[in-house]
Amino acid sequence: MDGGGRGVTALPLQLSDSAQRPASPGVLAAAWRSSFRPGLRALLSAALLFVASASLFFLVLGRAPLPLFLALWDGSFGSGFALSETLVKASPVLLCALATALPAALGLISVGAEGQLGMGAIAGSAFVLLAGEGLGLATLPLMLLAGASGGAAYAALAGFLRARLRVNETISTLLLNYLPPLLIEYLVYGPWKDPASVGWPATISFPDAARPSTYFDTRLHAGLLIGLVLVAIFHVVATRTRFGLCLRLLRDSPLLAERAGLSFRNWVLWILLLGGAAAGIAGILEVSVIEGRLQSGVGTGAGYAGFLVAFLARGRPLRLLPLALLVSGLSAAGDNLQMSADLPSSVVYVLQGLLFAAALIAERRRSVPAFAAEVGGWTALGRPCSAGSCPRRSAARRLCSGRCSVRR
Amino acid sequence: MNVSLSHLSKRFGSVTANDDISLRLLPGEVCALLGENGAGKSTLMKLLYGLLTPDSGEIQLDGKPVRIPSPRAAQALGIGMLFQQFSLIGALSVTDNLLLGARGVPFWLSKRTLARAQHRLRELAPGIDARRLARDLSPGEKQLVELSKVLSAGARLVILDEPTSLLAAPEAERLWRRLRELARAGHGVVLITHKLEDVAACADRVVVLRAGRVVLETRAVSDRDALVSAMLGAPLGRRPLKRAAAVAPPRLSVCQVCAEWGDQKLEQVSFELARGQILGVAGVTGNGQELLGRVLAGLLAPQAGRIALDERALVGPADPRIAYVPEQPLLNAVAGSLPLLVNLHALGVRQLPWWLSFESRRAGAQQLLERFDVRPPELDRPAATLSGGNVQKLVLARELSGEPALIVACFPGMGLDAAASRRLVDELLAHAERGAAVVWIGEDLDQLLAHADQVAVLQRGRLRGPVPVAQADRRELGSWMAGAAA
Repeated sequence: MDGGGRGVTALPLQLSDSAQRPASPGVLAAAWRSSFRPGLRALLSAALLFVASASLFFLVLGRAPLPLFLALWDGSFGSGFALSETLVKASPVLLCALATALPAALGLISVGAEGQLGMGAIAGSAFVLLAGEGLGLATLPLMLLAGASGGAAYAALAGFLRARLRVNETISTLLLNYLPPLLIEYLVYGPWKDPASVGWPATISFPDAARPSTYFDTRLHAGLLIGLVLVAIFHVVATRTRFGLCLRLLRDSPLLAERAGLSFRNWVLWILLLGGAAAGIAGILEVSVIEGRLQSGVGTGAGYAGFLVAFLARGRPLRLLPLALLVSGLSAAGDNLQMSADLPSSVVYVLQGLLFAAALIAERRRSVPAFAAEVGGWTALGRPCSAGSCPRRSAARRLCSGRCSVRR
Repeated sequence: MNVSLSHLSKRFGSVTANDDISLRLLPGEVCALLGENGAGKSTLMKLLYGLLTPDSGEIQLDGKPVRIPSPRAAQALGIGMLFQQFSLIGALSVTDNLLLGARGVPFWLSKRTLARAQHRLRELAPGIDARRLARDLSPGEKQLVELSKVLSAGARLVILDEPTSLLAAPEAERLWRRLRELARAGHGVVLITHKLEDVAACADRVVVLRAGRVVLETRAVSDRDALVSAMLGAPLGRRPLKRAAAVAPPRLSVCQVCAEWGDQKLEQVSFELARGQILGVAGVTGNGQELLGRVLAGLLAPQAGRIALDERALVGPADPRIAYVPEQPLLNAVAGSLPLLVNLHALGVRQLPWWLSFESRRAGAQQLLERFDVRPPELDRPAATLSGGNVQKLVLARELSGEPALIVACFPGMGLDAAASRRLVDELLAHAERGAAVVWIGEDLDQLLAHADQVAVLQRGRLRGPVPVAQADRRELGSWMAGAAA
């Protein structure tokens, strides 16, 4: 069956890929395996496309690509220190990727990790500033809980809008992302400003009890471990348990799920809430470990990097791990580019964008003739899939390339 | 244009869809490709249209071998295909839709270009105003516009995939006439169908496929028995069935129900069904059938009125007393990426153990697949990889295997071949015999009249009838469907 499951997606924001071929025994786990094909060819072509487009970008800047790629490597994985910095950056990215991947398992496209991270930072800081004194060992867990609830509550807002008023969650989460950074600015310039600091807008430094420890003389902290554990739990729950089955049912056929007694409304709310909690933990960890105080610009970009990671993982939880490492390696290398190659560190955002675009194109492209036929033919004008049972067409009322593998 | 297919074969994994098929298609002739679901009719034509490439064999056009790598190539060679789903863009006018598919449309659209497109349409379908929006057309009109679109793309051989499946009887008749005219004008026409009436009404020649092979090729297009036995491999016997006598109190009572959903509405729908009775709801599609199904299945609460099953109100979407076969099964009734096994147990998902294990359920599920002839009967195959008719069989296997008090079936025969429709009827009758009330929302009036106890017509959200089948007058039902005043 040519075409396969991969690449028939028309919308770039489809976060997971559905099944097209027979599964091996083992029911749900097998369904997961088969539904997200490894797609080595797509991976390779994405890598190739990324290197080519990044080279082109460097050339446009008037620089030789090779030394810059070496600088990228040095700044991300080239030394023990670089690796540790990559891992430090990976922990919020991983948690935010979870905040995207979890709703995606339900077929939702949430881009709200950035805002949920900010709200987690605010809620956690509020706890520390208002009640953080004298709680001793209880401070840290309570702070994390406060951060998680901040992110969760903020995500639940989008969840409520979706569940009750049918507001598209992509739009609402995107717009809600603008609020937390402004709120943080207000807080650190206004009510929460450290009176001792003269010009620098930030809260007072957190007490030691509210500063999670770092390990191995680096900035590595428990956030990475939390992320790893959560990803592992997500993987097991999604592939082996009834919960995972419910998610799949709700994603594939809301009507069937409803008849099975599952309420889409409730699930939307709770899943977004859980994802928001992960992003909230990322937020308060960034504040407490990395900055030691709340200041503006906390965790900037981690939410979107997380979205990128979740997108590239195509709904497979375990893939979040290497991809988070890759994407945060790119961010970590930004500082190195700035120092050793005299480029602005924002170059890494361009690189992230190129990576995203490369993945999209590689995902979209199948065989050259199929691609050419689609672009050249009037399929592009909207001929729907010829197969009456094409899931792509009916499931999302989307046009299918007509070469998908559904057979009559 | 003389098309000859020689020794074409196409395999999908372990399934052979086309097995060494040779066939000639001649200009000026309507050739019907007849066969059950999964017999390989569509696959064969997709090979010709460039949507699939054959594993072996050759296609010749006017004696010259050709390779058809894509639909675009097929179009360039003068082959056009109409699919079951309409490809018209609803928000555009008929003229715009025609121009979208056409070859040689200049960048600047002059009045002449438009006039030419409209002229072509008038030749084919004089009744359609080219300024109307495509979404306002009836299914039959859409089909004609599609046909016109394919012809204006230069097609001399037109392939139609189950063109009458969505059409009401008069619209189908009109389409048959047009196809005859096309053939007379020298076009080649291929009609993929599993309906004998299509064949009898307009084919010159019929080719019957079974399990990927040509089993019969004949010009005796009206020889029902020969065609059916070639299609199924064995003649069908009719089995007389007895039904339990209807006794009060009513099993299902629907009283003054009003509901609204999208662009569909129900107004003051009332009827009662006794134990073991089948109500056939006829009507032209798009008059509220889907909504009626959803409301009766408890998925949508009515805005007014009440529904009682065994004198108790419905308990919402997950009422275990109700079996529901919705329209569009792949979207509404199965989880496409999940295995057949899981789909069969989908309704009981809340009773499954937290740590999933289906081992104890496999044997029973396997039997169900075989009882309902779901092909291929592989428990671990994702449901979306089944063909349309088999997805429907899968849904029937799940919904009709329990002991529901009420069965709501919305177009349950959609996509089923003759043998599978028979099985569907048998199952429904068996449930009725057991005492279930059955609401059968259908498109085929003959079938409803043959098997239902009462028949009603849904027209613009209003239910006309029901009347006992014995007293039903076809012409009256027909006028109800068309919306005549009471």
